[in-house]
Amino acid sequence: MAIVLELLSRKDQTLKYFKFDKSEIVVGRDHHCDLRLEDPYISAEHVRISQDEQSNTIYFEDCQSVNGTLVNKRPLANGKLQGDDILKLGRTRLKVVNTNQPVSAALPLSQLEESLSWLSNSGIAILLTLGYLALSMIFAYVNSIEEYKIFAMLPKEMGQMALLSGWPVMFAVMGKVFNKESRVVSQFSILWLTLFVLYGLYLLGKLISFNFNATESLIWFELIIFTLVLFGFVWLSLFIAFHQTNRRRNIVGAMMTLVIVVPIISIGMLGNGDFSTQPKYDSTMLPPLYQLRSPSDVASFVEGSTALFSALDKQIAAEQLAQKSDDGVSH
Amino acid sequence: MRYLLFALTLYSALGFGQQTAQNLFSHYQTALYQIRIIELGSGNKSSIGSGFQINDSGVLVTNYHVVSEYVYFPEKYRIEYLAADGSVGNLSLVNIDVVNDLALVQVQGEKASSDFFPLSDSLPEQGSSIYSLGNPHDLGMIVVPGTFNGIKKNSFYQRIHFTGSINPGMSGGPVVNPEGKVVGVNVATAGNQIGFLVPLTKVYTLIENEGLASLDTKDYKHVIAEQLMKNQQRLFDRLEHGVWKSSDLGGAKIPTLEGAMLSCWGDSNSADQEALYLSVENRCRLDEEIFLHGGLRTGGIEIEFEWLESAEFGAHRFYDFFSGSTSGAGAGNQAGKNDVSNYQCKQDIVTNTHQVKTKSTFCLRAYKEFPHLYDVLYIGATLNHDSQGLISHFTLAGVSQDSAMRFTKQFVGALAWQ
Repeated sequence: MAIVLELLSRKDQTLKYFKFDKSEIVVGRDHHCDLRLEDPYISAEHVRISQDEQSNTIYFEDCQSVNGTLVNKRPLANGKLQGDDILKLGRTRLKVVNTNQPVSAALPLSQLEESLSWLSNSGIAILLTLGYLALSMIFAYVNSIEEYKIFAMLPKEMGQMALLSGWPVMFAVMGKVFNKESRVVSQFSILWLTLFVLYGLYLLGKLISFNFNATESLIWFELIIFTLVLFGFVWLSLFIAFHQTNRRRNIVGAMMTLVIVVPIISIGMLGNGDFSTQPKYDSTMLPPLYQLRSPSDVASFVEGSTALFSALDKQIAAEQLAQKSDDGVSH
Repeated sequence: MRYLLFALTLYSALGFGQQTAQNLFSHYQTALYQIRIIELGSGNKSSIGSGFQINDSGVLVTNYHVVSEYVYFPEKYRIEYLAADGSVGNLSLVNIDVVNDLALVQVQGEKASSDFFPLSDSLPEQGSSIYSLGNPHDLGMIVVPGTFNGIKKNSFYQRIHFTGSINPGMSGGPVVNPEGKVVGVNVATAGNQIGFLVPLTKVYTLIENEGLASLDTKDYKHVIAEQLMKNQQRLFDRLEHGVWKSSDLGGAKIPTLEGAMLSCWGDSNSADQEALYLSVENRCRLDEEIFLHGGLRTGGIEIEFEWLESAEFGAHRFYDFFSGSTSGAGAGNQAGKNDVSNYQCKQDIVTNTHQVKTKSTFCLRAYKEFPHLYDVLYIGATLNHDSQGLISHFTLAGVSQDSAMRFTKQFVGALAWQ
């Protein structure tokens, strides 16, 4: 067996491993020490750590150092050490590693990882970026009613893209910090691809609401699809940035999706059902080309409104009944 | 010499006018009342108007809108009069006519004055002097001389056009000819010496209909509902039997009503050099509405058309712009959440017999207190051309299902291309 020590940072992150195939080591600032630590508060020979060869138990003994030795924040002169005990010498902290404990199982290498490797191709990423710029310019053009000047619009669109870039950059930075690898190109590719999908869904939604009565259920359906796309996007961003288990990624992904979707829903629901002097109707108009169904005639359209009249009559009758019973209770 | 003569005539006319006004004032001031709506909680007046006595049993005529708060909330208010001699007493509501903005009230007890205004048998000649009496700004009774300018032409809700100032608080006061006979009732002002009066015939009708007993407070809303229902029936009969002709607007033909029942206005952006599109508008509306209470008007009609075309926009850009122009339509009349429900809509793509294809939206809201009366909003946008289109829009306030459906059919069916 061996004595294994970890040098800890202030935030308990492992900075270095030390493994000694000896039954006794000396830790200090002196050059002959087994573990030499550059800390001015550590004595030349500070502490002696030994391992019982039969029982593998680890002991320590302070070598009458100036500043003493702290075990789990308590000053002790000698004693037994267990796995995960933290020794503090001067300002340096060392963790005793329990060599009997098995390390966690290796993560299975994902098939997805391989199939997404094309995302890290810079050529594709540049193409997607330019494609998105073109798409947003086209949308701005279709939306404009004044003369469209492409060079006047370009900075605005690029500014918006710069704002959107915050997301992939954030994940790239986190990836760099935790995995020493940013994979910023893949993050960008995923962002543009997701935006393409969202634009596609938006157009599909327009086509449906133009041709068919946009009912309440369509709005909920759209919201569910949007949530799923968003979850997929967050999940992939996490997948590329971090090595984590699927369970953990699903949870984090779901949380981040909810953080984005819940405010959108609650703002949308705000004032829903309040009295308004304006009717809620769908004003989507598309060129004749996109009309998918045959029109009805005037008579059947007008006759069809009968249901609307009777629905309102019923609603008013129900309201009045409720009010009457309220009055009955209060009197 | 001629000028002198003219000046003399003018002076004598003024003199005569003043004399009549003084006579009128002194002769009839005991039959003229200030009508006050008293809020029961605070015991103070919440609004004032004028009223005049029309017989010796103490029946007063005033405007419906003067007593509307009481009609709507009889448990929160009462009606009180202030006579010329400073005496105060209670009034009970006898009858109302919301369409013509009239109300009959009765002096309670035996305190009624014996003086009353006689009603004229006929309307005066156009241009003759008449005198409006009332109580503006709570300052005491005054007489305003003015000119009778005939019945407002072709208006559906008949009004006498009076040149003279009618001020707030004079509502419900009588307008008399120089003999002191009532020819109308003050009702509204359009500013700049233009006033409107309810014609005498409406007062006669109301007096004839007067039930023997005062209305029960529970019946007020039923009476209003009945009057609104009858009125919309009459209005839509007139609209349906009116002469509708087809006029050009851009590349479309739109239905317009002959005569001046609706007043119409046009507009276009053709002067705007920078606009990439042409917009031509035609808006028509009924000038008057029926006042029900402070936050509720009904009985109005608005019909609007907008022709849009662009040689610059392609089909996609044009239809995106077209979407924006069809959104955000709102109610034509004022109403609150205690008066009406929210709108509910039905949408479809509709073709009429002239091959005009529209995306049509038909929205409805119901009146909470008047069963089977609705506000209707229609908006349609054509789908025939790639970069031209017509938006047709109307709002109807306080109509029955039958009227709404017949009008919509007629309206959507009448659109055509040139």
